[in-house]
Amino acid sequence: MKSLATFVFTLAVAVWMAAPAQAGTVSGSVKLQGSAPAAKKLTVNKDQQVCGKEKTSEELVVGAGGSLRWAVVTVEGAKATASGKAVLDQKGCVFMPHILVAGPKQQIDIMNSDGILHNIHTYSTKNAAMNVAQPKFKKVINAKFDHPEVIKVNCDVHGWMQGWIVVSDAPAAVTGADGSFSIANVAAGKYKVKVWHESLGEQTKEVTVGAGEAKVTFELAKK
Amino acid sequence: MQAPDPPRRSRWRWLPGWATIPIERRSYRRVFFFCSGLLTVATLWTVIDESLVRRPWKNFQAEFNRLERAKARAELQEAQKKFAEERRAEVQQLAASLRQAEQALQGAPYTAAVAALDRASLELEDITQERQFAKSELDEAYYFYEKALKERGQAGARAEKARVDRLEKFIAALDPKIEAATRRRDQGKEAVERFTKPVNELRDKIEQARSEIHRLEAYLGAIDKRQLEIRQVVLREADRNKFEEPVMRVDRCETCHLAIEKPGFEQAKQPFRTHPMREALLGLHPTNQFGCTTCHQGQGHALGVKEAHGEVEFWETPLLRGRFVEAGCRKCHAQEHQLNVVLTTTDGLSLAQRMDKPVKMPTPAGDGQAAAPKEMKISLLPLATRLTMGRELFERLGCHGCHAAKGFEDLEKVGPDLTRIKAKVSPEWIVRWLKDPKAYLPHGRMPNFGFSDGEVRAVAAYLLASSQPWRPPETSHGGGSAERGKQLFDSLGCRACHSLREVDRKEPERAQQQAEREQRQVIRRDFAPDLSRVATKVDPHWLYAWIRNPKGYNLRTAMPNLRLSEQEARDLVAFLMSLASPAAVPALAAEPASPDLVKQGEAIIGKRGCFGCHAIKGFEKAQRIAPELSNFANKRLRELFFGHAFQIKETWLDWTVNKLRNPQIYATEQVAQIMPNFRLSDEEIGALVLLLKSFKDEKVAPRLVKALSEGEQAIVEGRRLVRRYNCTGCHILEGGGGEVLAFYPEKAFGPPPLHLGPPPLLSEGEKVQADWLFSFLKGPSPIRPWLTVRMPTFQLTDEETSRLVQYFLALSDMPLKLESPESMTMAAETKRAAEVLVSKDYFNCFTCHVQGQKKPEGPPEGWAPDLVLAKTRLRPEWIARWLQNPQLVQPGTKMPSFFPGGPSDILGGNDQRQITALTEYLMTLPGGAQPTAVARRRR
Repeated sequence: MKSLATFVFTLAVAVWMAAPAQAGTVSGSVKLQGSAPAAKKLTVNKDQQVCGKEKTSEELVVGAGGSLRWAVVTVEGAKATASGKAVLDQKGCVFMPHILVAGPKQQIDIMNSDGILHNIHTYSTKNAAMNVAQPKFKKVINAKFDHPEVIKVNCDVHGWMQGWIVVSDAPAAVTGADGSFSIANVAAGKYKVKVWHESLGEQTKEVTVGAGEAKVTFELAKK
Repeated sequence: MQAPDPPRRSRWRWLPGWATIPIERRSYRRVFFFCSGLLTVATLWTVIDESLVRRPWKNFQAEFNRLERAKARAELQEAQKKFAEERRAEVQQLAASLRQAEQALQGAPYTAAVAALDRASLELEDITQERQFAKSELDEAYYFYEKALKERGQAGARAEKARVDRLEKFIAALDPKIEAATRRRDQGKEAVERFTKPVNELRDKIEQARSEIHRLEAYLGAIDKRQLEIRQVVLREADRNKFEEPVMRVDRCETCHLAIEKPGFEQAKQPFRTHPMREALLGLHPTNQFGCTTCHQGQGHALGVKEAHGEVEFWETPLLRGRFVEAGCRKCHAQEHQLNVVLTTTDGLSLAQRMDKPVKMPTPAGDGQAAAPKEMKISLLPLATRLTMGRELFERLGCHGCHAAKGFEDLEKVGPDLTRIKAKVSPEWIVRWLKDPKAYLPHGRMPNFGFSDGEVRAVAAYLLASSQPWRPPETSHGGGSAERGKQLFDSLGCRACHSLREVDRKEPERAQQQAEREQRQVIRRDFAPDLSRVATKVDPHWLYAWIRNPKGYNLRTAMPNLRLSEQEARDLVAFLMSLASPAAVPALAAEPASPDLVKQGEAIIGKRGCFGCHAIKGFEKAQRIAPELSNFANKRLRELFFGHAFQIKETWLDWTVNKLRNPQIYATEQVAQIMPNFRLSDEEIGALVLLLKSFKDEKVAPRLVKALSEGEQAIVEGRRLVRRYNCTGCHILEGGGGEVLAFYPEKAFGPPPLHLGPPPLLSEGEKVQADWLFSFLKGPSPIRPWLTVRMPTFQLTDEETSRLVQYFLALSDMPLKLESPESMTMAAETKRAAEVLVSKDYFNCFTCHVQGQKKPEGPPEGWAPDLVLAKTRLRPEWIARWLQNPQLVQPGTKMPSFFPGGPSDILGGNDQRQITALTEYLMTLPGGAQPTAVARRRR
């Protein structure tokens, strides 16, 4: 009897240990096809002592070799493991990060590090739209979005402030300054990997994930 | 040998051999058998015919009972399944407890308690009875005592007195015993109840869990017991006859249409379908008051399918099928131009879904905002929309100019005034226009009269000859920039009424916007002319004068004054004149108009009724030229002239549809048809035919006719003005309109574009002070400095203005009074608190809001309305509601919500107190203009 229990326990441990070995990582990079345009400048026309004089638009950030920042890559159909809190800060009259990825119903803390009036105005159709003021005394606003959607966020007080909250029920990552991304812990299988960029649109590629790393590279063209 | 008798003509020759049978031996049994057989068959046939063949409704009722039973059974099964899934465990537990409790009833303690209770009850009963007997005895003793007292005096009655006293004492002694016995009995009862109460409670709970099942079982039982019977509504007074006498109406429609008032059969096949929009329509028109045929027509008392629908010969009012049912609305709702229903519900969305109508609800906001209120008002769900479209078309196309029709009497002429036409347009243009109006304005409403070249010249000659001199003010129109003019045209709001389709064709984006704008229109006819080729039509000098002051040329025009500066007007003229070059058409100019030609023109105008739509000199008193339509729906076939159009089926509907499609179709060599061709689309024809179907001379019982309340009357009249001045070209009103918003796209995707186009007028009456609204409509002043679109001055009369104000008040359910709220005062402490609240470190209101001369930082498109205006413009109750949750008042607004979650260190952190303080602060904020004199003058 005892030996049977030990056997079952060992088997369970073995299965548990084996599980991560079957998961892989999807990684790669996103590039802009063609030449990069000069970064757009945004004039700051109010609250200059806090916000500064000029901002660089994050709508299209292209690095060396056409690497594209702020693109969101999603492994569709895979299970997300996001947990804990996500944080969206407003610092120097810029949303930080410019694009926040969150899971459905994940708690998002919206901070105001500037100490001046901002407002969080979301544009969404599947989730309830919100437009909440965040004056100096309100340090944190708790937000939660129930349904997967790409939600535009802006601040009506400071017209140039624009950001995005990508609510995704699949694992997702935002490309860094070098255009690279990496999504770990994707169970083995065949997936569609989608990239979305706010001004360049979408692209989908198929990828097979086994143990180890699956590479995908995207090239987005200007519309 | 006797010669045989000549063969007799026998009566029975058809029964061979019968005559030879001796009379006493003849048998009639076959005859009797045959006849009785015949009688039996006839009886059977009678019974069958009477009960089934002539009672088709019985089959319908039986079928419906089957249908309803099946539905109830399915529901019962569902309920049982649900019960099994959700409540079985619970009920089993309850049943176990019940068994336990019931077991206690078997035990000795319970038996003892019952026995004790019985004993105590018996004891109490005994003592009570004893007391009753003693009381009777006392009554008797007292009688004898009184008798003795009367007969023998005090002394003689001593013995009787003693008896009375004894009995009284005896009774007094019984009372505490009774009390004690009662107490014992109550205790006994309690003791017993301690055992029985849980049993009863458990039984109740088990029943409760099964209540739905029981309800459905009872329902099924009721269906089984149902008799097949005629169901009817008797209306004592439904109509009036020619002598104003009430006419009774009996509607038996529900004998077959059994689910009309039953929800749950929306998808069933006819005749078992639930009435569409049952709650709204039957809620307003209960069948026991309105019957069915009052709206639907048909032969209400008939019970056969064809007969009941009135689709038999000689029945004059057959069922209004399909959307023609909307024609039935007008007999009681003649005054209202559009019909809608106001619905209040606790679950707005589900109601909207039940009614298959998309109703946009303000989205309940996320974190940090108050949830949407439970009770939601979906105001103004439009009903009978095709009828509304028909009415709108009838008015818009100016049908009333030539045809009289009840309900369309006091309407303006729809075409422009032609009494000063010479100053406005070129003679060549008149000729081209009259020849083919659609060639110049494909979306216009001027119909084609099919004039010959000669006729065209004659009409033009008369118009020019009768034209009065008009001298525009002496200002030069030259020196404008077409480029600036284009910008002005696109941004001022000209496109709310005018379009530029040919120009837009070169700009796909604009064309797209134009298409989107047309999507928003109910009537796909331009309210004002397309200006793509206006340069080929008008004189630039006239154009300049016109756009600067339209009423200066035509007092009755709907074109408002946009308060253009001289430069703006010059730029616009330059732009419009640059769009096309005046094409020279060799036509009239070369030929000097002869008096004969002018006379001929006058005759044509008189015959074709041009003055029905246009003011023309010399035709001020002319009468309408075409037949009255007030009773058109009742026209008999023999009254309709089909001419040689043999291909057309001889029905009212076919005649009408084809007449509208091509008015010339019934013309013959003998009979000319003078109605012009409006080039109506099929959709437009459908709407107009529906309207014509409603033109009926009917006397409805006065109790059925919709009596408008003061507020409803205000809405009806307001809507007329809204149509006249095309307010919905810019503003979203009553859930529709806002056409021009198509040209002010929001760059972001998502909620409606709010801050760049004209503001939507949602609950305006509740928002602004009536006095302010009055003065604003009389002389608009900018409220939102960042808007390029400009609210024009409509030069409304005082009466029109107060009507509009009342319209807005009525839409918001406000009392129809032009009153300002009383001026507010503020406690010093509250004021200090409010000042802190609006300050930079708190709500920082003035980072966006203008405050009189103090403008916020940044570009104007980031600004918000001047808060100094609030005290003269806004109602304090609205400010409070707005501050509480702006998104609920105006979904999509830029104004963020600050509550709940006001700062904890102000006014005790109480949101309501903070909102009140801010409201009072705004209502007392100094600065700005005082209410103008116009406002005080009111009506």
